[in-house]
Amino acid sequence: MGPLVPQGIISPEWDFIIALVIGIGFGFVLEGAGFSSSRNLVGLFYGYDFVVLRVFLTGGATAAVGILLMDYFGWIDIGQLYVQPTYWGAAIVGGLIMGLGFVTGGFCPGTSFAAASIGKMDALMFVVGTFLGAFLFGETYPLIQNFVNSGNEGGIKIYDSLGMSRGSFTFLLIIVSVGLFYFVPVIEKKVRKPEY
Amino acid sequence: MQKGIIFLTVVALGIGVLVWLLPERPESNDIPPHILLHDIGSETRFFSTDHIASMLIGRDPSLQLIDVRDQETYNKFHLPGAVNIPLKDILQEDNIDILSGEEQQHVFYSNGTIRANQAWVLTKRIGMKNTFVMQGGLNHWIETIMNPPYPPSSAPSQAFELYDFRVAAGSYFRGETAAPVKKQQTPVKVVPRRKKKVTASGGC
Repeated sequence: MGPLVPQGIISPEWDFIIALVIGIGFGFVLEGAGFSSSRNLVGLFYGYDFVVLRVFLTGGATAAVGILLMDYFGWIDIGQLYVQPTYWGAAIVGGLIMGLGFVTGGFCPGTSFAAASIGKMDALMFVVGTFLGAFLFGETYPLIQNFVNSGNEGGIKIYDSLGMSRGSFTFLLIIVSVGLFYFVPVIEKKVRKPEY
Repeated sequence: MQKGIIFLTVVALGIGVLVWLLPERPESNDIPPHILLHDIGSETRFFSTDHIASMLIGRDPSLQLIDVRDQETYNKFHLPGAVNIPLKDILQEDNIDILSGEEQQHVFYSNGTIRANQAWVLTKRIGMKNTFVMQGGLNHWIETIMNPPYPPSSAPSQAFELYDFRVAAGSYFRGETAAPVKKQQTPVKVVPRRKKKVTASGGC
């Protein structure tokens, strides 16, 4: 039966309303999990707090298991899901810029909005910077257009590239996640959280 | 506390093993039959001959005409800029590469509409998005662009504007130099194109 929008069960005009509802829920959870504090977020880079890693791995593994089970029950057709195409060069450069912004600004785009909504000044500045960056990208697009669009690999998937089945890759992801959940507290204990 | 963690670990690994052992259904990018049926019923795949004519005259680079008749008839006559992909060869790899380009609108035509429609269904079936059909085919092209009927005197003024456009377009495609129509107008209404699907992308 699913996915609902590509199959026309929910018309694409609802996209923004659904996005708004999911976005509010997402922001609520981010704030509740303490992701509106840049100290928690950048702890990942300094090694005193791995909550970001935990949340993302849990989120990824849960979603993977959910989609696989729903596909098995015939509730969702994996082939119909949109997969963001991979652009190697642009992804690497973009990832570096994103990481640099993350560690210096203390937020990633989503969490900056969560933090701005509870009135943090640094997050507000971060949001302004986000729009400035988007504006700069738009203005310089003709110069970097060739690079941005080069090396389109299409919607490739990790398990295909590794030659694994979907299920065995998800199993591996769960094992790695559980292993890291046991391992990162060891690092957290060694690195002393700085006093503010 | 420690018990809870061990319990969660066992549950997570259990789910992992379960997912690992699940039989895998093959992924398919084919469009489901009921969506295909809906698309067949809708008129959005059609480009009118007038629209095609105005795009050709304007040298619109986004238009790619595809002649689905066989090589011989293509050589006898074809629309300017059209490439020949006979219907039987449409699923060859090179041709699929041509047809799956996202930048261009690939418009099929044949003598009538039937073979162009068949080509359209085939390409839809394998998930191509930018394929269309020229309404009425070449027969309709001859009727409307090359030999347009003069509208009755009671017709609305748009019909006369359209006639003027068609006469001008016809002489353009015949290669005539002097335009017989004094007032050059482009009364052709742009056929609304399907919007590109905007898919929400992720991010943290």
